[in-house]
Order: sequence, then structure tokens, then C-alpha cells
Amino acid sequence: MHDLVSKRIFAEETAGLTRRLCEGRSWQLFGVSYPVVDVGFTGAGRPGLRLRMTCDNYNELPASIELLNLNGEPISPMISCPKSIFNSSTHPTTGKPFVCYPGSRQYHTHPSHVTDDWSNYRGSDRYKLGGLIFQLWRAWQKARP
Amino acid sequence: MVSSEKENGHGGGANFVEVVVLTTSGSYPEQGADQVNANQKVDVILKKAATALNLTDTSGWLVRDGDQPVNPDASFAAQGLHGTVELDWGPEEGGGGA
Repeated sequence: MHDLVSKRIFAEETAGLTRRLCEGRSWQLFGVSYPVVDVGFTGAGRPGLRLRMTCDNYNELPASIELLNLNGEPISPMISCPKSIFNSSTHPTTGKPFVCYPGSRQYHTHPSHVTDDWSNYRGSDRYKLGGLIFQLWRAWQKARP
Repeated sequence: MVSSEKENGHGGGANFVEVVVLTTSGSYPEQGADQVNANQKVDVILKKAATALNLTDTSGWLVRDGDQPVNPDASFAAQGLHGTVELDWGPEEGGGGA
């Protein structure tokens, strides 16, 4: 995908991450600058979670998501999530724990999910960047503190 | 600025709530709040928000007021929602995989 198109889609899908929205959800927006959106979740009586989403060649490719603590370090211990969205095993490509959920590049490149192509989800409101962040926030809220 | 059904002559002395719908695609209305009849179903303003924000598929989305789930098929009044209400609306996550 042409870089200008990717930048436009990125801008469209992150425009809704306003201060009003983030404050209402106790989200900390560390930065939004193509190709990275960097957002943290706080509150809920549990350690914060920060998602650094690298969106190069988006949305030809889904976002590559790093799981970090609020200081920007790899999260440890891993979040215990009953639905396995935050997967503590090492991803064969990155060697790190990963987001095992559609819309995450690590999900679609994992050997267990390579047949579940990103094109099945791309462009739907649920899996646009904001929708994906929202879903991961909800999963984090439900995880054991 | 508050857009108002009452100002448009549809109020009839009913109670009103000021409503903002927050989504990661934007807020509805973009500024201020929408003043709606408290006896109106929540779903009515969600549909307006979906149209304004170009949301084409909101199936499986949940709405909350703070930590409290909101039933879109019930009215604001029936759920004790009054004053200024911020409806946080977005897709509920499914299960993960590997």
C-alpha cells in the first residue's frame, strides 16, 4: 500500500482518540504519530497496560502490537486473561508475549491462525484501530489484577 | 452548545437528559451534548451517533455509563439516567486464540 494512503487511513482511525475520550476511560495517550499509536490503560485497581501499535503498511497489514507496562518496558508478569487474548507464550516471530486476537499482526502470523486472514476483518468498525484498542481495553479490565 | 428537542418544539414538558455518545471513532455530538427526552430509548441516540460517525456495523457493541451497563432498548428514565449522561459505546471483545 502506498505510504500516503496508509497515513490517511491511520489518521482517520486515530482521530477519535481525543482528550475527552481518553480522560473518560482513564486512557493515557503517549503518542499518535504515524506509524505508531501508543496508548496506556490505567485504573481498575490493577497494573497499567500500554499498547504500542506499529502500523506500517496499514491497513494492508494489521497493527503490530507490543505489550508494555506504563514505563514502556515489556510487561511482566503477563496479564492473566481467561480468554487468552494476552498470550504469555512466545510468538515465533517476535519471541515475546503477544496479543492473540484478530487485528493484531502477531495473531495473523501465528501458525495457529495463519488461515484466519486479516482480510476477514480489515475495515470493519470493530477492527479499526480505535475499535481494536477498545476491545483490548475491555479484555484488560476483565483480566485478573 | 446543546442541541435540543425541546427547542424544536417536541418537549411537551417532559424531563430531559443531556447525552454524549463516546466512541473511538469520535463523539456525538461533536461538541456539547444532545438534549433528549428521558423517556426515549437509548437506542435512538445510538443510531444517530452511528450515522453521524459513519459506523456501519455496531452489532455486538455494548454501551456503558461509567462502569454501569446500559440497556439500549430501555429509556434513560427507566435506567435512572438523568442529568448529563456520557454513553461509552464500543465493541465487546470475543475470545482470543492460540
